[in-house]
Amino acid sequence: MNRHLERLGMLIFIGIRNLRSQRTKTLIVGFIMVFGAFLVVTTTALLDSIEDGMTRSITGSLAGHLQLYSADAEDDLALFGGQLFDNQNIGIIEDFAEVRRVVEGLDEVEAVLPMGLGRGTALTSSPTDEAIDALRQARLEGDPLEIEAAIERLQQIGALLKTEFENRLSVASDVEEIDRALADIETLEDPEFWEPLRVPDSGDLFDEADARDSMEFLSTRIASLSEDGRTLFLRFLGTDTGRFPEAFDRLKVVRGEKIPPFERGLLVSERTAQRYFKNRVARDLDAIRDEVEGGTLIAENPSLESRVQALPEQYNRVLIELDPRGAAQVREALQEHLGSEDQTLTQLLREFLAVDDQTIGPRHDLFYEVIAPHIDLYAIDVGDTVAVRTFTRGGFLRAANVKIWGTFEFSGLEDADIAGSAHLMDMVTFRDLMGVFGEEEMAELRAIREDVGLRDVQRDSAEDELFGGGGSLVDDGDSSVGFGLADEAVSFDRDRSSFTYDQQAIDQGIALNAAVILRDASDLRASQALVQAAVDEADLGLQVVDWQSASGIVGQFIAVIRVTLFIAMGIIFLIALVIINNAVVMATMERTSEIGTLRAIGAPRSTVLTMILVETVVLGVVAGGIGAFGAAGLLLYFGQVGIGATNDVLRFLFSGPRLYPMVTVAHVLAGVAAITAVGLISTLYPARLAARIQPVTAMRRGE
Amino acid sequence: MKPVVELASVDKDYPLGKVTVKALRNVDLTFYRGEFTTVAGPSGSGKTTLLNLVGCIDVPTSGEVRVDGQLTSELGDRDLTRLRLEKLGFIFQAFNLIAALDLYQNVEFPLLLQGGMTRKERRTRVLEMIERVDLTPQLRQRPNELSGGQRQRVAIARALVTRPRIVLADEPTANLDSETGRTIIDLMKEINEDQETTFIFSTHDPMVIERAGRIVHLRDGQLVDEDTNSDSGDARGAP
Ligand SMILES: Nc1ncnc2c1ncn2[C@@H]1O[C@H](COP(=O)(O)OP(=O)(O)OP(=O)(O)O)[C@@H](O)[C@H]1O
Ligand SMILES: [Mg+2]
Repeated sequence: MNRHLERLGMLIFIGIRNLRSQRTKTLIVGFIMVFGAFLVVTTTALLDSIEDGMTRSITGSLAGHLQLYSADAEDDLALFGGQLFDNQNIGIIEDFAEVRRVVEGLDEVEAVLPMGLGRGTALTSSPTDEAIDALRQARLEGDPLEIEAAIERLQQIGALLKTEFENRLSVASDVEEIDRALADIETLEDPEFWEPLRVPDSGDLFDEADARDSMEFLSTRIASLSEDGRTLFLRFLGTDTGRFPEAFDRLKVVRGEKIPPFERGLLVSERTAQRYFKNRVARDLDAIRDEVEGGTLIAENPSLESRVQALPEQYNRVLIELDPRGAAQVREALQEHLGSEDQTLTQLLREFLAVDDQTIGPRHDLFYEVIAPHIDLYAIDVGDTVAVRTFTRGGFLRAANVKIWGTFEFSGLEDADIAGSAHLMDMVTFRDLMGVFGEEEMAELRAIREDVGLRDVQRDSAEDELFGGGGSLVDDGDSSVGFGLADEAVSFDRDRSSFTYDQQAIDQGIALNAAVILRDASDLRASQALVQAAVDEADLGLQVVDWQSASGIVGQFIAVIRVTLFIAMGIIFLIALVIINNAVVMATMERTSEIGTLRAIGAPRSTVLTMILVETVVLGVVAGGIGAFGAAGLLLYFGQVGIGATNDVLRFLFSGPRLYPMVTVAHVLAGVAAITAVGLISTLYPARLAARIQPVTAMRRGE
Repeated sequence: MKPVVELASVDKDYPLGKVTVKALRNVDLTFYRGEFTTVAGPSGSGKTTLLNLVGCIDVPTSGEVRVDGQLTSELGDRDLTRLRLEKLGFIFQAFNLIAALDLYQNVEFPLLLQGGMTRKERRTRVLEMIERVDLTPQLRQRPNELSGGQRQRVAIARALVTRPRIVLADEPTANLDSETGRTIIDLMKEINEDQETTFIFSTHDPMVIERAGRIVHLRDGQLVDEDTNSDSGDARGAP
């Protein structure tokens, strides 16, 4: 042993000396090794950091550590599957209460939450609708000032619409339709049109006839011309909103409040609200301000520049929201800010919105200070009750009025799109919207069945039976039962947003899937097996998957990047292999005489082989070390300052606007080891060549 | 008299394209313990070839070579290597020191290959050997910092440090001036007398031939003549 060590020591010594004398080879191979190790350390560390961030945003927001869903689901669970896979059929968990009892019974499990992803729409009212409503309200209350203000606002809207349609006339193909719209709009310019509306609502049917005609004209012909009433798409997660904040403790309410326990409602993702629900002008100002504050010059970034250029034309998105009093205040403030006097509000707004690198900061602030209070900043906002409409799997429309209690974000994941991708909805409303039935509805159904002698109603087929689907629910054609079909299908439209329920109502019912939060997630495989065993034992018919496979494409995204990068790295290593091999072969040939001498004086082949390999290992450790530590240094630096995400793909990968990479000793070691291994592999052939050098070569004359 | 190397009907052919060079032809030769032998002959006569066969770094085309009783043609690379390490010492015309190692390490190297000695034992042996070739002050110098004569003395120390049976030297003085060559041969001779080591060396140098105990003459690969130098003799004493 000692003898081998001493010999090895001598070979290392020879190796180091030789590296210094064969400088060209050392520089070529060394450079490749520095570069290779640098590459390995940076890519693996960055990937791990990205994966870590994603893990946190996925497990910390919606997925938890493990997910449970029906064992005989048609599709795989894909929590972040994206548009394409959203119609997945993952089956249902029939009895969540039992699942909760069994799985929460395990020591390793912290909590189990019922879940279900759904998507739907919410129709928001347009400013025109609101102005019409305001007028109706003012007339009912009989306040002449309010009535005047409302009429003025509607006239203002009429003016805006007129410009818009006149502009459209020049580019549109269906001129006739636009002419019709313009004719309607011009009606608003006629003072006689407004005359019957200027007096308070008398309540007298006869007196009110003209006013009713005008109101009807406004709400049927004019309201429909305004496009600002938007259909918002909502992606929501039905869950136990009472226990959710405890299980996912990164949840933080930004505006409003949490959904109180056992209340129905929606908690809106702050990120989605900022990005999709906010007034367009506000959103643009936010985005431009963020970019410019981040050090970008507008002229430098083409997409930013075009956004800036388009902004002044968005003035009407502000204008249409303002009532006359608001308009007056905004006008005054803008005049003062811009230092101009005799301009219309339209001109002022356009000038105000023509921002540049210097003015964006103060104007952004002024917007929120002066304009924002007078407009509806968010299409749906905290305190609103929105009608959420969904289609059930069977294709039937369902709707529920849902109160918005507040907005949320996950701390540390404020800027992660994934984490903010769904709004939170109480489980009871979720079940309503999904067209699946709780105990209450099942009981209702049974009662109906008894009344009219229906066949037995199964929960599975209840929806079909109720809303058409396959067979008829009623034995003999008489459908005197009040449950509607076809256009009356919105059967749960009654306002239940203020109804409360209890824990039982949450637990005893279906869920689509369930999230499992573990006390210790370090050994996911083992925990997964344990939970699977428990649900199998209880014969629940569920499958257990880890968060990564549960999250769909997103979870596998990292694995795909990893494989791609490893293939790329493999190719780079292959090239490195060829270059190193060549360099070492040449260097070895130069040493033929020396190696022959060693063989002649009694060195076995293995010693020669070792000598050549040792040299590569020495170089690998030194050069690899330089590259790896260099990379580590750079990563540590970026770990402090962060790497900015310059586009959406990167923002997604980084789970936010900046990635703060982490690097560990393991990364450095892996880098050195990988490059040394590549070096060793490339040296195998020359080392074998060297070992085959014959001792006679030592006797040849000259060195 | 104990034979240490025996050659019987040895032929060595080198295939060279279509023709074959017969480097050695039917050589019968025995070297005895303690002999100080010169293999003499003109260039191309087969001196180096003969030393290669004796030195176990090549095997004969036909005939038998026995080194310390072992038939070399029956041994594989591993055993031949072992034999060279344990029984033989080499001194080359071009010195062939390991450039990366200093004087001390060059001499120590064969002992490290052999193993089986403590660091202390090894150190004593190496220093003793360096003292013997009179290079103690240059202990830590690298080969390129030494003169030709000094280098050849290092080579002698390296060849002898393992106390081999046989020392082979292929034209050890060819790269040295005659004065230095003479000291080298005298040193080898001294050691030959002290330690009963068998020395076999090739040369064209009359000065060297003059100092040999036994002279073997080669011409065109054949043994042509043999002399003994009565005045110089060798370690086994005059025959
Ligand atoms: N590897 C070889 N391949 C082909 N021919 C060889 C080889 N080695 C030696 N020879 C030939 O064998 C013959 C003997 O060569 P050798 O080197 O033994 O002669 P030498 O007496 O040592 O000569 P010199 O005094 O020039 O060193 C020569 O004709 C030489 O050309
Ligand atoms: Mg020769």
